Amino acid sequence: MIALRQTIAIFLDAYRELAAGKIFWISLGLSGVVVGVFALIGVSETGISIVGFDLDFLPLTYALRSGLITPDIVYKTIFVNLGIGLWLTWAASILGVVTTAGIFPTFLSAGVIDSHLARPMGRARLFLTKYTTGLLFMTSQVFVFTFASFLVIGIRGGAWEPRLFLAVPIVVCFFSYLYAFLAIVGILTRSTIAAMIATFIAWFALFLVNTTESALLAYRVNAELTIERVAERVTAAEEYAGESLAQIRDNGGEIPPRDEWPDGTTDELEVTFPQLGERRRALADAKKRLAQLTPWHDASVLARGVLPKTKETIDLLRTSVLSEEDRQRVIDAGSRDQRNPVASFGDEDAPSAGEFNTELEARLTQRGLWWTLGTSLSFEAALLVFGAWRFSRRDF
Amino acid sequence: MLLIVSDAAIDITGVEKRYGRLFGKKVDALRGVSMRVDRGEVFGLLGPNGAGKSTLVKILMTVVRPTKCRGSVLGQRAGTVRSLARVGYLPEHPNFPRYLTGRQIVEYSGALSGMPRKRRRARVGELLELVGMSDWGGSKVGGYSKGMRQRVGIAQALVHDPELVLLDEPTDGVDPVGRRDIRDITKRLKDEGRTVFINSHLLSELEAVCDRVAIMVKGRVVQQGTIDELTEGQRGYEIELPATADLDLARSVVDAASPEPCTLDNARRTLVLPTEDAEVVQPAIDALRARRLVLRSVRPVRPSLEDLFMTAVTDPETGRPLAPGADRKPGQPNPGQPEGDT
Repeated sequence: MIALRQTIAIFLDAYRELAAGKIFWISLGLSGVVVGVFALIGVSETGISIVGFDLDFLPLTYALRSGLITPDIVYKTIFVNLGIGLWLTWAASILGVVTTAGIFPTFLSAGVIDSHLARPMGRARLFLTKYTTGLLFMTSQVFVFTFASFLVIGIRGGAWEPRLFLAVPIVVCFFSYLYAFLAIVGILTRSTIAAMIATFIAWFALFLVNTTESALLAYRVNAELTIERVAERVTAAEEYAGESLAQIRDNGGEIPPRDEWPDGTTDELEVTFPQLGERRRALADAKKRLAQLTPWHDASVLARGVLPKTKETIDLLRTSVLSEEDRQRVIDAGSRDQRNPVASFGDEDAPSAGEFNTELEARLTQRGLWWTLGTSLSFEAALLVFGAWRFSRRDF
Repeated sequence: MLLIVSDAAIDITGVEKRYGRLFGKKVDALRGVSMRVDRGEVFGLLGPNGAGKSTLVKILMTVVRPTKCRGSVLGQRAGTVRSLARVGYLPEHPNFPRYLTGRQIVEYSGALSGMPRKRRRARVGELLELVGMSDWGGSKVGGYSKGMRQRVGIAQALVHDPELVLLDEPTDGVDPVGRRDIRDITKRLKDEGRTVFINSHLLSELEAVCDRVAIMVKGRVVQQGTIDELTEGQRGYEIELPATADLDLARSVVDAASPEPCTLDNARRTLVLPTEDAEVVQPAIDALRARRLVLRSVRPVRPSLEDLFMTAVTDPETGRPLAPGADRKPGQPNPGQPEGDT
């Protein structure tokens, strides 16, 4: 009971601290503006418009008009990709880091920490409670934003989707990775500026590792799909060449002797059907490229394996809010008339944009919850254990 | 840490604190401090800057971890969280959040001490009244003067009805009226049966309220006891003579009439007899009067706390005050104090 009273008191104090800060209200106001803009977007079976202006150039317009996707899917996609993926994950999170960077340094300042440590409360619990209160900023921001978006999607899209509120734990979980850095550096240095700079650097490093792995994965998927396609063509060419060779022999024809074969020709099939050689060489090249790429990608996966997965964490919302079928529809609609983003220009063996995006999506979905949340939260837990240990051992 | 079960409010032995990095310079802030504070008394801790007073208070409040510590606080192992439930604490420089009101600070403090909401609410009004902040309780701390913050600090230290109250420089930044109020509050706390431990530089404040004091110098307690105990053997009677009196004659008369020679303070025109026994002084007075010497006053005198303090912090070899701060050479005995005398 005493522990509960202490926890409630610390949370209440954290709320008062937040409410006393201008950035909290500025951020909330900006969230309101973003939701306001969201509400101005009109989505119907005829297309997308904003304040009456039709946005026919968007790839989703065709999909809406052809009935491939419905307006509520578009609203949910905008909410997930722009509202959460852009506004809350980037802009609001930056404001969040700036706002909460001072929590631990202030807490550890003389005259403040003394008053807290002189209470019948263990240091580790005090640290973890204080850490949790730091997540209040993002929790309140995401909740207000999601609630407003829930109303917009319900009223304008006609879909009352409670799963939107999964944005609250997911975005807070994402922010907690960053806040763990803030807390640790705050404890080690007692400096707001140092905590903020270190966290932005850590965030950038995570982004870099994440982007590198994503890019390598995209190239790997592209290479693997290319190999599949080329292999199929090689098989088809071999069948064709085999049939042609049999026909030549049936007709009493002969294959020229080996020393008369063109350079690079390996067997009679290639002599019969010269394109087979080209395709086989293309397949060998594609396999070589994949072999070069694979160790780098494996290494990047290993590096990411222990680090928090910011992008995948936010992507959990997309897979939660949109069904697999809806996601496929969005991919199809978005891929229409688009070229495969990682294929070389003029590469006829490369998969199409739709094929590539579908496979990439499947690979990312396969990674599962443990890969995304388990390893990320384990990393965060390790930081917090270190922070709690340091907080418990140091003098103030 | 070994637990010594004691019925004293604070009973600690051999408390040591060494600051410093693993391979860096070490500083011995506390070098075997032993101290006993009985329940229900007002205890004063004094010493020059860097003597280790705040470190000792912080160890008792678990803010600083001791290198070595034996003893108890209210029957619980000293320096542990369990010892804090019945202890109130005013830090040296309380830094309350500017966004909170005085009332909210006291209430927050009560909640952190685990008090139920209803009891907290009732206690807050009572305490703000006690520290003279009733009219300001609803205002944000950002607008408070230093003295007002100190008053709120005292209120928050008392909110959970503690048995032991540690006040670290309670009169810091407080005006004379506030000091008198804090002195009255301290007396009231004592009357209520609480133990009050005060760490202060203001010797006159301590002298006015403390039952016992300890003087710390360079990480050691060099003197500890009641003012009477500490001044024992240093008390005497002072005979003041008028400007026209022949001081040498008076001195010879007193020396002849007293068992021990007196000392003469020419500037103040006084003779000091080294006795606290009024009977011993009477023959000297009679002898002076028999020689028709006029006496302006005769009064018992004892060294003030300031005198004791200055004696404690003066290097007996050089006669100069010791340099402030803790010793940087571990194991070096405190000047003027035998090793282990704590």
